[in-house]
Amino acid sequence: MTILQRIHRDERGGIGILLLMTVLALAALMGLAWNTAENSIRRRHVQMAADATAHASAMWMSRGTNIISATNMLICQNSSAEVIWRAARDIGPIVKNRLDGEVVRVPRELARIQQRRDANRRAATPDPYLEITLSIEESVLLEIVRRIPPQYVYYDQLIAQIAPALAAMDESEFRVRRDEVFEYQTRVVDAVPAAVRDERASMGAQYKVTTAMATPGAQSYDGQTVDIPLPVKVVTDCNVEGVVGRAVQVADFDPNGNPRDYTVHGGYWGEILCPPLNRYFHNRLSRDMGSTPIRPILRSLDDLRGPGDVDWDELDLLPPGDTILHLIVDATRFSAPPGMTEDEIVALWTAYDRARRELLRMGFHSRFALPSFDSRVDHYRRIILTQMGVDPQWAFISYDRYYIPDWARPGVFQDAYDNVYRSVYNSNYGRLWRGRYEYYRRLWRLRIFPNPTLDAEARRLATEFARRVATQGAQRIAADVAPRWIARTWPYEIVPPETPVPPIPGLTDEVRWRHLTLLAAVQGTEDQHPKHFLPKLFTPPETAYVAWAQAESYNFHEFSDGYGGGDRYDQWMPPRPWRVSTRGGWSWQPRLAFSDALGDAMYNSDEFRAMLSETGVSGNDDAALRELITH
Amino acid sequence: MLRLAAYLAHRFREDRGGAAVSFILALLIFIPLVAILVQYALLANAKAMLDHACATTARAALTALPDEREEQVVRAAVFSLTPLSPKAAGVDPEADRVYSALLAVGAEVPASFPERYSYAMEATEVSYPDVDGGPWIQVEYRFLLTVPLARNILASGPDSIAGVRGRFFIMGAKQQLLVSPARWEANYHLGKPGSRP
Repeated sequence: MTILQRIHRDERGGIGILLLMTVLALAALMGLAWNTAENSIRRRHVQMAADATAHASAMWMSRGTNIISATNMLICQNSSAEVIWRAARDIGPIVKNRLDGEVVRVPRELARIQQRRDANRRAATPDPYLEITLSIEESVLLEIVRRIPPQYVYYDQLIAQIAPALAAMDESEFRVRRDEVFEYQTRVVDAVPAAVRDERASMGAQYKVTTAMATPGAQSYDGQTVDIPLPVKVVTDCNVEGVVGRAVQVADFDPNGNPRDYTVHGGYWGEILCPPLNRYFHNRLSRDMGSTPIRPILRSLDDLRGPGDVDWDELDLLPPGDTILHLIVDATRFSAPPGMTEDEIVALWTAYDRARRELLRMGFHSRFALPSFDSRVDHYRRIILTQMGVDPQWAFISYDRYYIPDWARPGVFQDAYDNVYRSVYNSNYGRLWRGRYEYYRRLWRLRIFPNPTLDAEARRLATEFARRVATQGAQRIAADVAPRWIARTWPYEIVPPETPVPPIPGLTDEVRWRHLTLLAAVQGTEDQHPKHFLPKLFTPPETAYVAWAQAESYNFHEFSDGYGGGDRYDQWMPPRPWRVSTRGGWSWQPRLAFSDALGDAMYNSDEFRAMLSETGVSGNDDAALRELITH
Repeated sequence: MLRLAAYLAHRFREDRGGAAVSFILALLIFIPLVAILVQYALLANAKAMLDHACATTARAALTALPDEREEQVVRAAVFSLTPLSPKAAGVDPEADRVYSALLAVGAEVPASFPERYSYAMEATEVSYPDVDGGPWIQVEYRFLLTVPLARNILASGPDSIAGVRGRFFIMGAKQQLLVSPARWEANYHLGKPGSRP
């Protein structure tokens, strides 16, 4: 038997060969499944690292923006405090001087009354009605003398309230504090890019990857690291001058039918002081004015005097209480005794009216304290806001002066026209109406001899006249002001959209990409390279996996109609900035976003492009990338 | 007769070739087992890839849905499952576009990519089941069984997908979504997270 025949007949080990083949096949299949899972895990790890890096960097951007917003609010609060501080400083001497003056004036007026009485009595034919007038004046003044001391009590309370604040601060310190806040903001703006770089480094260490950053808004060359800045910029000298509406003469007729010109006064529109901050500043000042303890004290002082300007024919509307004005009214309330002739009634009424006029002229009844304080507040509001507009401040990156886009011009023009028309009409109508009405009241002696029918006729004539003149004047002034107003550039926090809004609320995609978006690319290090089963059989990839993620800083108020987002662009005058200067501007948050800026990022950053090219992605063909991007 | 009986007795006592008979009998059971084993291993590999595809799709949904790009979510699933797919009979225009885009950005792609992508488009389904406080994302894929014998056992009957005739196994993977805040909406609507009402 040959060797071959022996081997052929030997049946031992047959199963072993089969088993060996089976084991090899199973090992190959196991390797296939293992390596698939290994690659999957490594890819997901790298993607997680990219997501974390991008999100963390956007979080720093959001934090920084929120800090700028909160500190801008702090600047406004400081300014509001300064306005009230200055007004409080002024009101003390105003009240004191007024009360001291009245203390001196009352005896003088009483002496003058006595002189006039003596002169009347010495006259050849003393005027009995003058005696009535002087008696009324004298009795009221004696009562007024009694009521001045309680007003000093409120003055003392006022001083006690404001003295600590006046002692604690100097006028110049407020602006110094605002400058300090601005310096702090500048440090924050400078620190954020460094914080993002640190975050990127720590993510790399934690996930064992190398990272690269890019942003559509900034380019880097020669492998330099892209810095991620905050979406803010410094603005100075941002006050906006207004448009003057000149007074016009409207031709009409006087009550006798003679032609006459009547003046309709214009105004001043479109002035915006410190546009980036004025919204919150005004809100804050209103709140602080409502809560300051100074105003209740001043109101109580004024309540001892009179209810303010009152229509003498609306006596029922006087508030109850023991005020000086009530005193004057009660003292001069006219009531003719029965049996008098018409001339006697007129003479008596004239005597009472003369006393009333004289007492009103003296002004002891007028409420001055609270109106004086409010007037000082308005005065300093303007001064401080002007100063803020001159000083440097941090505003949202897209803030600027823009021309109104063509599609919005008709709407904005109409809004401007309506605004001016309404304001001119309302501010002139009352004056014109009262003048004409008073003429008829004097003519028909309606005060002395009330007549409802004639009174209604007087009102009707006055209404027709005032409406006619005010309408004409308002139309002419509005037609003059509105075109000039909208021809200027307007301060806006966002770039005006080129198409009517909605559907684009708030920020345009261009601004979002350029200033609020960043991308992070990561590549696994040697530690993250896939460890294949049977690497000689299943060759692992030559380069480590690369992943990228896009993140952005956003504010959900952008899509809230109540906070300036989603506004119809042509319906808001003046603009309502809020993105880095109000409570709404305190809500910037990071989010992962769809990578629609990948093309720009690859174009702008050498580092980013180099990392992606390791995986074979070398072009930045935007259309091709848009076709391929899935996250 | 006696000679025949003696011959048969002699033959029955002869035990040569006995192992071959038992081997053939064992083989009839062994081969299908091996086939099932191989097919199962391929299925396990496919499941691993499907899980990865589901994770990739969920990641795509994270940002594509809030930005109202739902089609990109499906594309993520299809992309991930293309390497697992056989060549379809024809080429979908979208597959062509994607292939051209890949070449345009410099990626190295096999020439069979468009056909495989076309199959994956037909064979993949993405849905958003609302289960246990969801939302979830679910990816289903019709995997072509290629191992003879095993495919007859594992699949019910022959079918055709994208012009590929054969037996298919429906596989699914599910992952819960934690969607990024919407750019356009503050809240989500289940079923299609991140979409407008």
